[in-house]
Amino acid sequence: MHGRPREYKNKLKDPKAAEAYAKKAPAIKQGTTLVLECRRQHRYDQAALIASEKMLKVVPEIYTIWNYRREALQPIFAAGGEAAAAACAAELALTQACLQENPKSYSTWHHRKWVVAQGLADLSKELKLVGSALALDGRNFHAWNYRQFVVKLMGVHAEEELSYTSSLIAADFSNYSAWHYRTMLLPRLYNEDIATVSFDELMASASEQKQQQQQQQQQQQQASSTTAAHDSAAAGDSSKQAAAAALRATGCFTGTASQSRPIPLHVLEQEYDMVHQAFATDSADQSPWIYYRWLLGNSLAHLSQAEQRQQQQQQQQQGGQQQQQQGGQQQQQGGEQQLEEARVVLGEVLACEVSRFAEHLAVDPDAKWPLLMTARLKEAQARLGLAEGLGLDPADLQQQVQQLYVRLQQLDPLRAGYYADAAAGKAFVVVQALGTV
Amino acid sequence: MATSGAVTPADLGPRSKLLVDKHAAYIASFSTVWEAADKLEHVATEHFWMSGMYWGLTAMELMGRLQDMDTDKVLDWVMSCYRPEDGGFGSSPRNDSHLLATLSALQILALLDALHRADALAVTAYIAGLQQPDGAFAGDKWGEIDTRFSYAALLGCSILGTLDQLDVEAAVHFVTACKNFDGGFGCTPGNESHAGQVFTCIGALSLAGRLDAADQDLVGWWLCERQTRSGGLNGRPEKLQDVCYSWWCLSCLSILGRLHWIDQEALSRFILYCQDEEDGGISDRPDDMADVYHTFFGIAGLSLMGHAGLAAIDPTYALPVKTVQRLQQQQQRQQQQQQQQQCGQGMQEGGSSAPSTG
Repeated sequence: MHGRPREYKNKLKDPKAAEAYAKKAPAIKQGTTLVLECRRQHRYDQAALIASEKMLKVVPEIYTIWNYRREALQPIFAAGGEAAAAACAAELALTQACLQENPKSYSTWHHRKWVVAQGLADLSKELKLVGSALALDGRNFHAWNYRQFVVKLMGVHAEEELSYTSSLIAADFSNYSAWHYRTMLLPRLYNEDIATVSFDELMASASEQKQQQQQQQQQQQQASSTTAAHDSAAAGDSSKQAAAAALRATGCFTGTASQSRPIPLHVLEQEYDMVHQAFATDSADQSPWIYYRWLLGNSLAHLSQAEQRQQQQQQQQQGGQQQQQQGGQQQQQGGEQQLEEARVVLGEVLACEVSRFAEHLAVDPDAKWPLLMTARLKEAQARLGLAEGLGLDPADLQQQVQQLYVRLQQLDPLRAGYYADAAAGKAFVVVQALGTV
Repeated sequence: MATSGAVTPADLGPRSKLLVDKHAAYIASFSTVWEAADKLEHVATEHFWMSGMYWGLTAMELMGRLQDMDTDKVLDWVMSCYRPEDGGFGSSPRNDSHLLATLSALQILALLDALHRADALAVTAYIAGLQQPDGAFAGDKWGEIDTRFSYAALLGCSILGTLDQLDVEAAVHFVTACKNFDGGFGCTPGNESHAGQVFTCIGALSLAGRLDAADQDLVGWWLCERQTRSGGLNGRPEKLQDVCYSWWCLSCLSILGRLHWIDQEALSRFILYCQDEEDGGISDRPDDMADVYHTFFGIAGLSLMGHAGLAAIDPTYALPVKTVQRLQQQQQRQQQQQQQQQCGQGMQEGGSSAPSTG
């Protein structure tokens, strides 16, 4: 559907091309009919399954045919042993062949996940496979999705994955997907305590669930139709439960929406250096600039945190909690002191960033991204009390900010509407948001 | 020829207007796709015929040309895709039930004012049965998780008036877990922001009355940065512009009240330039092959921008505003009827206490 040039019409005028094209449609039509008719007759024999393989290699998005294969596979996986291992290998080979033709097929990637969730695949090979897929197309989000699935099951440490993103970014600063992954890994590494669920744990919880479900099913079967009974008999409960649990494991991996604390300042410093290298290499690419906004959000979150702590202590004081007055006063001073320190540190960070962009602008005064970053940095300085410490006048800064946004309206006219709102001070959350509520 | 630079009026030539007759004829040729399924683009797309029908019908309604479609036949065909054994719809009569096909079927029924033909209880049960403990929705019983399915579930039940049968709070929780550093959303937690997923998540949050869970300025800015020099929108940074993002991005900006953050004139020219003035239809990019998907989203995008001659489209439901208004009126009347029955104020005509589907 995407990206087929209209010269296609001219090409079809060639009789040979037209003939080949005309043969495809009936082949697909008849192939689909054949496979689905076999299924309707509950035929899961070799010949029928081979026919389904042929169809899937051509039209992998016929999800019903993958469903058919899974119905055939369920009893095999449930029975275990060599047959299950062989079936796993066969499905991995099939999905690999399909992915070579169509690396972005939702159905194919899902089937592979379903197969791997049976617990018989070599996960390190899966990691290699997804590494190859990403080497071919570093922006293939299906592959990234699958990578996180595998990494989760293997319990790969965030540090290793972080190195992986570093190498990808070093090879190509334009890899937004790698920068994105970084925003998930850094909080895990430095702040969050998100457990990596191992496959053994998943299997254990799955067998617990299985026992519960068996009890429920016994009750249901007494009253239910034959369909339900047939389903549960064919299901192979334990593999189904484990597969379902492993598939749901994808849901344990939270986005930065769960980021409750900012990245430590010393880590941010390194990240700022990294993006500035990217800026120096290719200042037009969006990826590092959008990543930069997140870094800035993290920096400013340190200030918000210090402010919150100071406010909490003030409230405690005003709330008249029964503390020794001296101790209470010291605490409050501690809170205020920390806030002051935060202001100094962050004031320096922002000032440093402003001067770094000033260097860019000295070379190219009309460069959109350095101008936009400068506007946001100055807006932050003015609005968050970071100006005075540097001897700057917030009102003066606000004027500069406005002028910068007005200039951006001219330099980047497609987004004039956004810059107009920004100039009116209506879009500041863009700077502060950590991607959290 | 302007392929990556801005589209000028001179470039547009025969494409400077929306070629409604051409597009209507193009879409009408798919009107009963299951009957004339010989062309490759028909046969190879059976796994989303139901969605294709929805795109085509809605596009026709926006252009005021719904009468060119054989809607009676379409309705019968849609119902032939209903699977009473599980309460879902398949993408075609011989394809298994799937949440996406179920949503498209419900959208078609709503569009054609034929929701009474659906067994609301059974379809609601099918949708509700796909919700996972963490609030996510699977696409079908085989367990694929994606925020597209969250949107499909919430919208499907909103159309049926049965949203209260879902755990909306849990659904919102899952959607917000998919929020990323750039304010956008991915298909599952931890996955990269993509305009299509941003749409499904913003749409889901909108239906749940929880747009507060989105960082509206941040995602609005990320979305407006999708506009490239061509005037068209891409779906992610450093990707190519594509007409379908005229919908995915634009509808979000519309829901968030930030449509003015992009250059609508430039986008309109880009969409118009993607028309096939010979055979009708709209393609992803200028001079590529047209298809019903891009035809619909191009027209939908133009409608959102108030293009003359097109009916208004609701950005959350992706259905004409008229359809959504009728739906909401019907649901209000139903609620009133139920309240009156509960208050014991006399019997309604043909009254029963079981929920009806309008």
